[in-house]
Amino acid sequence: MDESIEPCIGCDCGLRDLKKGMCARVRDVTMNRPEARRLIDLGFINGAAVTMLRPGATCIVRLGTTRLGLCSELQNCVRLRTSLADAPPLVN
Amino acid sequence: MMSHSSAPAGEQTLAVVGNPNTGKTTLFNALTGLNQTIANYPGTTIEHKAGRLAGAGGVRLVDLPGAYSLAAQSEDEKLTSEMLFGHSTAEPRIDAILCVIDATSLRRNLFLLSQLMELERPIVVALTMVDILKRRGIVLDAAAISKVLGLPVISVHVRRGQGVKELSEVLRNIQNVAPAKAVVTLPQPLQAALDRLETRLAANPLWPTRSNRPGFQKPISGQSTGHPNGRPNPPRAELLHWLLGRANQNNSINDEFFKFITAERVALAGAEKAWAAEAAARFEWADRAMAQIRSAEEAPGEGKSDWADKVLTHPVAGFIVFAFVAAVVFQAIYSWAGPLMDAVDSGVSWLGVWVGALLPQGAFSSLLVDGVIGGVGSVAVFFPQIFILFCFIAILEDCGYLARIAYLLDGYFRKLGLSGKSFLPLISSFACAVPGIMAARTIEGRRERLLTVLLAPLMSCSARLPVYILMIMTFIPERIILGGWLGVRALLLVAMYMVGVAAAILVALLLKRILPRKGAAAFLLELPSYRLPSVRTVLLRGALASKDFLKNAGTVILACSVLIWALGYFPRPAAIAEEYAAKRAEIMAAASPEASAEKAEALAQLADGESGAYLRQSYLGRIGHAIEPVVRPLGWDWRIGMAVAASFPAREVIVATLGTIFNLSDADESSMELRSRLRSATWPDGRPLITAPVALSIMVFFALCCQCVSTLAVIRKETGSWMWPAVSFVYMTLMAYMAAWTTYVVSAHFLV
Repeated sequence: MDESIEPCIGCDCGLRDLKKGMCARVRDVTMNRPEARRLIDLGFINGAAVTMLRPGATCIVRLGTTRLGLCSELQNCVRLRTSLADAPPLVN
Repeated sequence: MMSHSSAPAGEQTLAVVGNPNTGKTTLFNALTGLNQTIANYPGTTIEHKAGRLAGAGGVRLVDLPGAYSLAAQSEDEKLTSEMLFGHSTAEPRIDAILCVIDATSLRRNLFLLSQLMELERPIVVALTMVDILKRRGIVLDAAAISKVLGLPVISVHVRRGQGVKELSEVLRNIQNVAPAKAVVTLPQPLQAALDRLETRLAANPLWPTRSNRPGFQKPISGQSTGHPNGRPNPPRAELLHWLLGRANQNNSINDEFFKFITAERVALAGAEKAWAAEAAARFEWADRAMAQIRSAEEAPGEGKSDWADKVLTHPVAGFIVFAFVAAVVFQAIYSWAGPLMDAVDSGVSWLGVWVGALLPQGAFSSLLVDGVIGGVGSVAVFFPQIFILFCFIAILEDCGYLARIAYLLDGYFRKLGLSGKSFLPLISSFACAVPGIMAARTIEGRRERLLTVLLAPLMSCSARLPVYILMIMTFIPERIILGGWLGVRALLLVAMYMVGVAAAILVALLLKRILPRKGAAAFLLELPSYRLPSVRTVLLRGALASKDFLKNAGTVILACSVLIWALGYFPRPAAIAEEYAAKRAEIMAAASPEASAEKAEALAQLADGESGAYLRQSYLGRIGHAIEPVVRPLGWDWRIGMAVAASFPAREVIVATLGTIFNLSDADESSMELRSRLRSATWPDGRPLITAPVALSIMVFFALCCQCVSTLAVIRKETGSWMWPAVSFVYMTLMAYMAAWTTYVVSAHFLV
């Protein structure tokens, strides 16, 4: 795990708040929708690193080596435990 | 609907399971070849593919829909888990599993494998995309992975044919593979809950169900360790399914059992927390396994696919590329398939003429030539379009671009209750709704797929074009407007296409409110890495889709063609035969031997007249008379009504039927003679029969109606029910009638 990313205690940041190229770590997934279970099975679990490739109502993120398209409802389900201000930009 | 026969005794049934985009179907195709069947699972629109292992009897492979987890979320995943738990009537017995794993997404794939191992069945792992990983500098050794997982692992590269033989050999001897064992240590509270459930089930294995339906309460296998009562205990995967899965209170679940699992879920601080803890345990195991089997860590930096995505998913550049790709696909099925369709059509016509010449004239000859061969022709003519479209779909899907199209368009199509993947089926339907509806198979959400299927027939297909051309060229005078840039006729043709699109938007907005929301999925789509599609898979997909269409929809189309033929052929009044025999004799007697050309022409005209006389007297003619009061408000008489009724098998048939009614054989939309006869046709009081408003009402009716038995047959096949073709036919006919009536009344007011 990359220790340079400081945990943001009490932070309510979600996947929607990530800007293009920003990387953050997942805190948890809220079960607002039935499909949220799928997010967990795909690897959106505590500590997983996620990178925003293309923000938007339907965004593209990278989780590990997987690129995923997510609608806004599902973006709202993913809570992050990283302070966005500290999130490093994407390498490259 | 397919017959779901279970495998013969002694035959092993293997489920091919894996995440989506792992190359699972490509491998399935390589292992089975053309020796496979496609059908829908009972009551669903999801494809069921099964085949025998090529070159070996005794092993049957079933290609299950791609799944990320046994905790089913989508319809596809639900089917996969039901099959694997032994709850499905489609495949009551799964003996072993072939798990296809994408080496480039090892962690996510191992997650599913850890669940499959808890089914306690023999598992063979096929490792794909190893070459891609190798190019990234990471080496995977199948033997080392096999040692870590405790399962046979074979690395395969289907396009190069590597590993397929070896894999076939292992599958052939699947009985030698030991059942897999659970490898993940679950969090303690979850494990404790599982133990309690297991103890209760051991005492009463039938406990979960109220109805004791066969198969429902059945433990998945007899391979688990026995319990003191001598009954096999369900494997851990099934226990987890009960504890954390979809078991909700309903008529099939025992109340006491439901109370028990609800209490356990509460004790676990809600199933949600337990899900996350379970998933974390599985990923931890996957991480440990990966540390042992990979030569190096993969850096999640930008690859070629990320660079391609910068263009292909860009809101502007992405749409430009997409428009180009869509134009190529449309052109292919609209124009490139044309010569092949003409060839099929000519071949069938030639066969009809040849058979007709062999047989004496009469009912049997007519049945064979016009009913059967004509019917087969109307089916076979779709073959090139379906083959080409499905080859394109296979290319777009296999190379990973279809997922990008879905991403680009999803936001727009979602507003109409459709999916981003609806675009390709809908644009294809402008050429023909039959391949378009079949292409809707690529849409995962059941609701989105059904909506797409119901809207596809509203796109103006190529069969409507002859009707538009005949009516426009005959009854709409050309006038140049917009400073010479556009003619009225061209504008009207474009308007006809727009009528269908506008109606589709209105119907979509309406159906979005009516259709049940169950199955409407949020957009969550993997964008796989770009890769070269396999030529074999592409051709096989085209061939199988065409074969499937000919076999399933073909029979319905043929039956309808024969029925319409019979209605148009019978009865054969002797009076008409006698009248025309007398006229024929008159011509033969009157004409001088030198005027043989004139005589032949007169005889041909007489034959056309005779056909027309028979048709007007036929059951179809009587139907035309019967429906005249209904079609009168549209400005039509019984002859137009009859021609529309006769065009039920296919819209374009109306042109030939109008030709026969007006005593012309071989009439098409460009026939000047037919145009002239249509212009001179009158009502009994001498008024012209077809005026511009009537022509417009005919065109609007055809733009919106569902006069195409092939489309209805394919809707039935794809939805697995007669209800949806009936719904399509009724709502489209009613809408077409209302629109045609409005058009007639309004245009009669302004044009006459």
